[in-house]
Amino acid sequence: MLRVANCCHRLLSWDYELQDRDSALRLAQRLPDSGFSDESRVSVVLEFCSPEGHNVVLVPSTGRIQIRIHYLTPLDQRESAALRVEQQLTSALAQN
Amino acid sequence: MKELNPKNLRRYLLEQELMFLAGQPVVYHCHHFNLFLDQTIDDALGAADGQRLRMQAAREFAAPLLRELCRQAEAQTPPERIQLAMQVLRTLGHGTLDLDAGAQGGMGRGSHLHYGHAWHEKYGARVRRRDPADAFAAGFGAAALEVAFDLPAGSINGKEERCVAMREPGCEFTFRESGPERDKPGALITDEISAEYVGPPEDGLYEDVIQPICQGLKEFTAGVAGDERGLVQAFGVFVTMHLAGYYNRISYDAVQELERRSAQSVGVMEDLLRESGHVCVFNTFGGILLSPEWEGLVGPVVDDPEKILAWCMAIARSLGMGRWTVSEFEPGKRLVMRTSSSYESVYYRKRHGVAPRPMEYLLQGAALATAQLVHRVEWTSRPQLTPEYYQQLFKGGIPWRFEQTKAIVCGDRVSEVVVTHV
Repeated sequence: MLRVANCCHRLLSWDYELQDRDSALRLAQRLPDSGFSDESRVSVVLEFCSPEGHNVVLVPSTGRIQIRIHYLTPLDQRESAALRVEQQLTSALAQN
Repeated sequence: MKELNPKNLRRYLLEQELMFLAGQPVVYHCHHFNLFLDQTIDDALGAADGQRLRMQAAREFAAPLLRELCRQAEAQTPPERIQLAMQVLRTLGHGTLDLDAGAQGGMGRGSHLHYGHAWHEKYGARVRRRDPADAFAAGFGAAALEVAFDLPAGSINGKEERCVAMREPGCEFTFRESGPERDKPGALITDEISAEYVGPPEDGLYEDVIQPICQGLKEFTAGVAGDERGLVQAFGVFVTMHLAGYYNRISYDAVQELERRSAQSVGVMEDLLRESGHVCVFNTFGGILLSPEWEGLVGPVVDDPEKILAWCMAIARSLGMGRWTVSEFEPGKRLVMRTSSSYESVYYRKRHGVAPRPMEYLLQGAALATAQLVHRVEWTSRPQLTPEYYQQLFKGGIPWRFEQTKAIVCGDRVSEVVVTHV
């Protein structure tokens, strides 16, 4: 489920809500194989970058996930960009 | 030319939480604060005088920073120095500026400059700005040329001729020699000088919470720098590491100028300078608290006034605003904040001496806004900190009043703001 999150600029941040923390941890393991580059600076806040330049921030301790659309994305395309990243995350989770 | 590592250039004054880059006072602020403060200056002085003051302030405080960085990097030729200056602008989160200029001036082109880009993003769809937004970049570019060619301070003027905030396709600048009437720099303010204008560091309530969080935030932000376009996104907030002298000079010079021109308007301007503190706390402190970075570094946000208050103190310290402490807190009734240091008071005391009244506007506004955030925001619902929510919280009758009861600018050893419920 996708929900607009707080951000300095409109519609750039979206919370991607999963049922449980284990799914988030599984996602963190699978994102690199789905074309996301790991750009984490610290182990308590994981940061991944999609091939299109959007970011996914993941908190291992709580399972919180936030999609951050690249700030150059025009305002009217931000929601659709977030939906595309959501699909990428869902696909990554569905992989066996 | 030697490569500089920004991590090694940033330091905090021990136990005072004032931040310095290569010895020059700096502080983190987000674009909401930056745009609001610049607008306040332009509203007070008029756009032309406001832009001139902002350009002069940027030039004055960028020059010593760039001079010191060029010395450390052993940048000796003008092209090396200009290259370094533009790299610094990007690293600080102010965007990209390309200069095609020499010792007599020239042209510049900006892209993703912090002020213009942020203004366009925040207001561009609704308002067409009539005046350029990037006087800071104009002053920074002028400083780069002065340092590159070993010119006297104030000898190059920068002016933004076209700006994305005016719905132009890009930002364009001209740089010209200033002529005989130069804006002369005031007394230099460095880390060593700042240490003369702080009180003995104090502990307050919740230090066991505040200090480790502050340390963690400092370590996290040490690795934060501008991306390839020169913008910094951290905690979901677009931030700049900014020259504290820029904020101080434009604020205090504008107040002084308004006292000369229209003394009856000074109170309104001071209210707006305090409101910049509301804008800062609401957007930056609030944005940090709601971010996943905060959740990972500290834990999930909670609806606990004491925790929110302690966390706000930790955020303020890590951003370089001073050693903010809580000396008293009675939820719903009274908050007393103190600090032995602030970037406002260091500047004011060094440049202007003892103030006739408490004039630490950011601290005053921030204290009141902290009381609002602590009591009136339902954090666990993860609200969006929109302009509409800001209006609701800060324009609908704030149920708090503040009084600055001690002020370093007035000669006290500490500054103290008492916020009480009305």
